[in-house]
Amino acid sequence: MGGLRRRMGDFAVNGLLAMLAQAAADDVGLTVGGTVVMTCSIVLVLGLTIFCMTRILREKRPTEHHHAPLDIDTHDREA
Amino acid sequence: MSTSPQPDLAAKEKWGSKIGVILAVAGSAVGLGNFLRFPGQAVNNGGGAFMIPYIISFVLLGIPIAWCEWTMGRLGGRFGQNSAPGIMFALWRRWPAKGLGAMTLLIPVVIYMYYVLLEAWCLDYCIEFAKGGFAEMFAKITTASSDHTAEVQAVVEATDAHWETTSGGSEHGILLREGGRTIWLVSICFLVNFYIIYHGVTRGIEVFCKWAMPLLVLCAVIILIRVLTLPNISSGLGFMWNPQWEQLKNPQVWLAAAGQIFFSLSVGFGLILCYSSYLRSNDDVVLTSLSASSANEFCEVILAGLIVVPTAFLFLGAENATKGLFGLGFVTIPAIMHFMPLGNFFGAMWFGLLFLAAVTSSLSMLQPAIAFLEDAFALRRWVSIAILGIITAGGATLTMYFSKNTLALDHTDFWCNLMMIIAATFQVLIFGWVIGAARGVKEMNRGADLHVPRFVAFVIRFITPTFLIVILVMWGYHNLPDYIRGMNPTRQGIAAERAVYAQAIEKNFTDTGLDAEVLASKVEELLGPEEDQPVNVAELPAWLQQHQETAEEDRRAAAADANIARFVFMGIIGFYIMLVILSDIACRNRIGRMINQWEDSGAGWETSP
Repeated sequence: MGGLRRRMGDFAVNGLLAMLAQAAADDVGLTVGGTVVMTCSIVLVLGLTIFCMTRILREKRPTEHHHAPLDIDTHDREA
Repeated sequence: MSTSPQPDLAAKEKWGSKIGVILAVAGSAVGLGNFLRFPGQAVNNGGGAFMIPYIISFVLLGIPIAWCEWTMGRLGGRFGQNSAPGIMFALWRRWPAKGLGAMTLLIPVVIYMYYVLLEAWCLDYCIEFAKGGFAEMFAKITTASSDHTAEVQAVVEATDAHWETTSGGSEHGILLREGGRTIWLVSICFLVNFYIIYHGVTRGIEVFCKWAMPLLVLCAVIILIRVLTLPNISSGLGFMWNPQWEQLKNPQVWLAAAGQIFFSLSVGFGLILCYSSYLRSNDDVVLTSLSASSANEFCEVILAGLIVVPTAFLFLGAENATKGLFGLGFVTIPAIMHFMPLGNFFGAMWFGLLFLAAVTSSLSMLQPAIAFLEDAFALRRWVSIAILGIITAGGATLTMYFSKNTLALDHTDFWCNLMMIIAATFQVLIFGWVIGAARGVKEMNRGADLHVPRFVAFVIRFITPTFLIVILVMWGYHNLPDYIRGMNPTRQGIAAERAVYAQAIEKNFTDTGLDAEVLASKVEELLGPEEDQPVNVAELPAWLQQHQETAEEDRRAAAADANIARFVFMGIIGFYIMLVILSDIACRNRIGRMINQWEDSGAGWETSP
């Protein structure tokens, strides 16, 4: 998980640097300011979405806790 | 203590899974506003700079209101209530709660009356792209024009004409007389929506949203990949995202950002209130609400923000990339598909995803009213559906009839937006001041995986209501006078008449080289200085009197439009009064009894004041 996060982080940084370089070279397209705002917005929204979804999917379902195994012998038929 | 029988806890429907409710609420929020309104608002209000007020509004307005609504909804559910009047009355046993409940019930039903038409248009465009109808239309244009600029203009004119035919924009009644296809498509949308709603919250809405939302995101991601791999897309992204920081000094930009957050999250008009009432008493509302809001933002900022305006700018230029919701959605985007490789495929996919987004939203507009009819009058589901079907079909027919320049739709939308801000303001005030922000936040944190910090109580009590009141005042100040003037037939008629003569005067003197100021004084001299005084035709020069017939025609048309605007307003007010009466009757009888029963059985408040 840690490795994946690091690779994703590297990918994002490399992507951002490439976009900044392209922005600097290109007069008409995305400026440095535009690239920074766009990247920050995407990172913020994507970060929040991933954080929420991870928390939701990581949660254990209540059924895993609340139900007893079906094979418990309560001996209630012996009396 | 009441001796009435214990309420049947098992009989009340509940959501099947947490991911199901998140997708359903995200589905209700993700709609045409995300994909078509947000890009237009951003590009017209400072580009990337728009994101600063947008994010601030998301934190101070969107998230707190959503948390309040989720908490109030879950609480209302503990009293056995699933509709806004019942939930509001359970939380605050005073008469204003009934009025607020009725307003919160009214808004989604009225919005559905025109939203179903938008849904039908999305389906129409999806089918047209899938069967190659647009390609045929474009093929005729391509053969006729050679250079790119002329081709762009011709394609946009063609899609504009197609939109006018589809929406019945040329005259009132044309959609019902000649728009057999639209009637069929609206009927299909009605059947789809009511079929899903008939199957209930778990087996209908939840199951549909579990399929539709991932499919919608998948389609949008495929289109996004295609867009980001287009040559020179950097210029389109620059047009959308390059910040114009000086725009931040403009209060209109802040108002637009707050409005966008408010309308796109679907907060304040009872949808979340209704959906969250189907939660169990210990279900997490904090994380669920945040997840649904973040999913909505993902669709809005990432998918819509990177697709629509950049592509429109790249293929059609700045003028076509800055249109409003309808212009961007139904004129610009179909035109883009002509220039994009595999345009038919992507066009069908785009309008297919818009259709899915519209259906998931419209389902959430119907459920609150169904819940009210079931809770308040113990009606069976099919009876509730039949009643709601008849009411909404009537409203949709009127919207279709008054289709010229989408007049009825625009006016209905305006009043609904105003009521949404009012309803949200009162909801937050009830949460912060009637329930008590500290008690409310304590209740919010019950069963929460992610606890809300204490300062949120301060935000909900002071900052969010102030923010909402400022939006309400500013928004009303900028829009209300125009809409109120728009309902005066005499004034509108005179304005239209003067416009015809003024245009003729300008045309007459243009060649003489007069500048704009002199031209304006010439118009004033010939037509009279008072703008609300009718033109005295007998005193006009002969060359101007020639335009009398056109001016008369325009005056009559404008007066008729003003009457329609008045009719829409009176209709909404009448419907609201009816719902207030019904809410009052219900709260005095069945809903009131239900709340007492549930309270006696130990349900309801578990946190002390």
